[in-house]
Amino acid sequence: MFFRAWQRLSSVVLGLALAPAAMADWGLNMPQGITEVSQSIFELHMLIFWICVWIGVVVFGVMFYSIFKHRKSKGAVASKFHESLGLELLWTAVPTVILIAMAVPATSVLIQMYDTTNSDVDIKITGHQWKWQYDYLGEDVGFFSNLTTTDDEIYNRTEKGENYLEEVDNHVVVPTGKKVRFLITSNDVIHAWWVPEIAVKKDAIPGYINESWAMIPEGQEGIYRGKCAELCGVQHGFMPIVLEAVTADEYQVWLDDQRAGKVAEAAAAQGDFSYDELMVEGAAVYARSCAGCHGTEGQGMGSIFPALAGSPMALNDMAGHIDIVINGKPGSAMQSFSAQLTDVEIAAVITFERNAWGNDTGETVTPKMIIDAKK
Amino acid sequence: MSKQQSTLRKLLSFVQSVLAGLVGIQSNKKREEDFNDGGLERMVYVGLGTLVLFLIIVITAVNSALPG
Ligand code: HEC
Ligand SMILES: [Cu+2]
Repeated sequence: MFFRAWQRLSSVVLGLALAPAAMADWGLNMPQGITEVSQSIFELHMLIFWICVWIGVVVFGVMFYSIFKHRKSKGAVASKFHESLGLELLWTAVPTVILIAMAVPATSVLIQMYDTTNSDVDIKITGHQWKWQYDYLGEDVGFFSNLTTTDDEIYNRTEKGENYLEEVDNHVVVPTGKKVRFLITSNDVIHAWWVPEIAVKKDAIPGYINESWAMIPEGQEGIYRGKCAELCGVQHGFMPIVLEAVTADEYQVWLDDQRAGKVAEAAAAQGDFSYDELMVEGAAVYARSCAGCHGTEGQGMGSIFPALAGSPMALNDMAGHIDIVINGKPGSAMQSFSAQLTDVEIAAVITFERNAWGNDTGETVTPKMIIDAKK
Repeated sequence: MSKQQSTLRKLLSFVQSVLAGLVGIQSNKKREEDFNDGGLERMVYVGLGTLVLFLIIVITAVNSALPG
């Protein structure tokens, strides 16, 4: 009985020793990732892991052997001595050698990870409560990335989708085969930008810029998902990262599209919009960008996030309303939306707020008024 | 034994004591000797010298590990 259990245990231990890949399949281990750096990190992790396992086996082996062999019932008597120079030297030298042997590969991986020089693409990443902002430095391309999982999914009114809480409107697109440098910072509290498959996890700290990089090999085009990895407030779990790796050619096309889109938006803002068009657009913008704090029915949330239904500002103070959405209110969670939303979207959401939930002012705020207010 | 030789031996003994202090291993006999023989001042000098040597080793190791 005892022997059988022992046999089974040792075959499990042996299996573990021989099949690190199998462990990854169980989902117990960290992912190997797709970049050279992530591979290096994985290999380093396995190396250190096995060193620790073998130290454990040896130390506990000696300990249990001694306890068993020299047990009191066999008449063992403890030897009482003080000082053993040879032994002391040995147990100092052995760990020293092991530590140095571990420091060498660890240092070389660290140096590889921290070498952000000679990048081909630079992306500034800014954490916000609760979304990520991406700016492609020197390319005149930048945008916010908002969660697109619906409230209905979150509150179990419908089936949860495949990428529940891991989908956003604007993907951060990067070219494969190019060194991409990430400059990570925050606008409010500490967040952390984490994409396991490329082994990048960096704190986003207001007032600091942390650097990291990744080079996704050609042939590994695809979608890689990540999360905010630093508790940053109530919607910490609602600011995912969707990284889209495309070929270098597709990346150039994408950049051009982004720039063209911006020009088209600016032109559109000069056009005329009806009250009805703005209300439809405004409801969508509100659900996406405002409802998280002000409530789906404009009812507010707790004592910090004011209700907009029946709010004096939404009923009487149009200039103040436009101002707070464009510029935000410093020192509060009410941030500036002028970079996150287009002029059309800002006009639409303000029109919506001034007419929804019984705020029947009948007033229309047009994109042109937003452009004027920004001047 | 010439006088020179015994000074050298004394110095080596100090070095050994300082190195022993660094790793925290020393025989009881040697420790008692160090305490009884005095020579605190020289021991401090040897200690400072070892510290400088240690810093030089660390700085060189870090510099050789960093690229460029
Ligand atoms: C992160 C949370 C958050 C989000 C998202 C948010 N707000 Fe606010 N908002 C606040 C807070 C907090 C205040 C109160 C600021 C203060 O007065 O200290 C506020 C105040 C306001 C006010 C003034 C209300 C009053 O009666 O004084 C308006 C109008 C407003 N927000 C509109 C919006 C719009 C439009 C959006 C979406 C585009 C939005 N907010 C998104 C947190 C938020
Ligand atoms: Cu966060």
